[in-house]
Amino acid sequence: MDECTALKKLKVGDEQALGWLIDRYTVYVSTIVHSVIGAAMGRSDVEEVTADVFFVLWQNRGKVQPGKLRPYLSALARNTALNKLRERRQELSLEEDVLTAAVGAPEQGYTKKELAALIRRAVDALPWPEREIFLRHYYYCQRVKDIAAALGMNESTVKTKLHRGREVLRRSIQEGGYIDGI
Amino acid sequence: MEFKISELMSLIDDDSIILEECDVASVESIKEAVMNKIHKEETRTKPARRWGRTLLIAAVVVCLMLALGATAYAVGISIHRQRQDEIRRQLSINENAVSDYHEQSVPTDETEVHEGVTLLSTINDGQFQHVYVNVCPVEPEAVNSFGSTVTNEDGTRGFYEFSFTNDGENFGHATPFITNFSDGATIQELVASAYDEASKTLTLECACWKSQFPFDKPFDLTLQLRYISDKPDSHTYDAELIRTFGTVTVDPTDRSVREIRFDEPVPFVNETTGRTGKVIGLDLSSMNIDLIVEHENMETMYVPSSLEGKEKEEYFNEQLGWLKATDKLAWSLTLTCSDGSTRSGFGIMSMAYTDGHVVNHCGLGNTTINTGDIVSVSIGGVTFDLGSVS
Repeated sequence: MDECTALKKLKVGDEQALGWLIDRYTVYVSTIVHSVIGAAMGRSDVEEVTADVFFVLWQNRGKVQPGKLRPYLSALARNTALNKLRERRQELSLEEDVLTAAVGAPEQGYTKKELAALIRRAVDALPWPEREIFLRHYYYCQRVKDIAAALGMNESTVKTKLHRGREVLRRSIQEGGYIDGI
Repeated sequence: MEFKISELMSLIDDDSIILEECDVASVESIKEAVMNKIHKEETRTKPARRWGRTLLIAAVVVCLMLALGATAYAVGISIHRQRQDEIRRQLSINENAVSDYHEQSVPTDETEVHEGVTLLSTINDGQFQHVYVNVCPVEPEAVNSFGSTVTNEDGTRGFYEFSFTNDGENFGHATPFITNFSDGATIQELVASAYDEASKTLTLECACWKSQFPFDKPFDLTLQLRYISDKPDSHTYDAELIRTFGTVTVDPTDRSVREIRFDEPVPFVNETTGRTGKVIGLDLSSMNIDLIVEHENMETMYVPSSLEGKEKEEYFNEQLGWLKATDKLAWSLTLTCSDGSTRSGFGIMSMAYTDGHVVNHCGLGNTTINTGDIVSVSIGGVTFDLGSVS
């Protein structure tokens, strides 16, 4: 079975196809979940959230497009893990997670889709390794020391590059204008 | 203005970074847990097939209870779980694969009595967070008098209201979550379907408007029973607090939107002015439809306060003409699902000028749609196959 066939079968409620996808993506999903909640919770929580991700995939099986499963699972894993943290009233430990930006008036507002495109462009505009460091920290919620270890850098270098990433994002938001609903 | 970067990141997806894999989950245990969830879910959503057997079991249980002198309250799943199932069914959450609906973990032990407010679930329709709660204890008198006005000793009239608030100053009207819409039933009979007399628990829906309640962070929701009376010789009212049930913290849910933009906008006419506007598309989400239109003077859809007299009246009539025309369009809207079934009969609940167009918000009532299952849209006499729109 290939992924396209599995998704077609999944769409019509084939549990074997779901099993095939679980075989293929458990490591991918659980790695992301562990990255987000691993520092605060145990293995059983990681397993529970990973199972939740595949259950939501099953519930939304009609919506997943072939070729887009991997990024879909990535976002689902990240957001389900963050929800788990919120449920337990636990906070992420991120470097300067709050960004202050001067923005325009509400009538110059963005739709969520436009805002997502703006964020995407700002992140993609970062050179390597800033982009990877920024995503590892703010998307995958990895700690600075883990990023430093993974990329063979010292922690102060990672922090400096995170600072640059935040500045790029701040400029993008300020140049873009007001953001509604965030 | 402040933004949380980690929340901004929730707007995008990423699979470009290869994280160091870790062996933290057993594939077999994940598979088993997922399959259990699926089968449990299927069992919960297919009550009709088991109805006969359930009735038989219920009859046996009742006989045993009578024999043992047990109370009805001690039977079955908790009222919270029971209501969650009813809300899920009423909103067709499973049938429509609604991912935006968030159900809380609730006590399942039926012998526990939970006085106060129990948060059951939430769903976002873009304008409102619909928050479903159980409140307890509610006396039968308050339920029986719901929807009725009574005459006070001083001749004024009043009624009981279940209210919700996040600031103690602005109140919303919580409505009993009715599951029994039978023709000819009185309002009291309808409301009775939201009330469990044995546990004195009433299930309420609180529609929390985004202008008052933040959709980007948790908010507190306090439920009260108040008695509202006309104030003599004025157009205001008195509100007497009867009981505060308690406060819950609501984590607002997000809303997934299927954005449909027509290659060829659909024209429509303001019959007051003869001018033409256009429908450029729809934003579909599980609990609402936003009809996106453009027309002249839309950026000042509220009559400017600087206008007076005839000029003001003309402006008002023009805007009213646009409102009537868009409402007519909304009523002409038909969504066709992949199985050929259709959904129609949408009226405009509210409108706002935003992002260079007018967003007309059409609610679906107490039900949902499967946005991914809509294969064509008809509006204003024009049909769009969704394979041909972007």
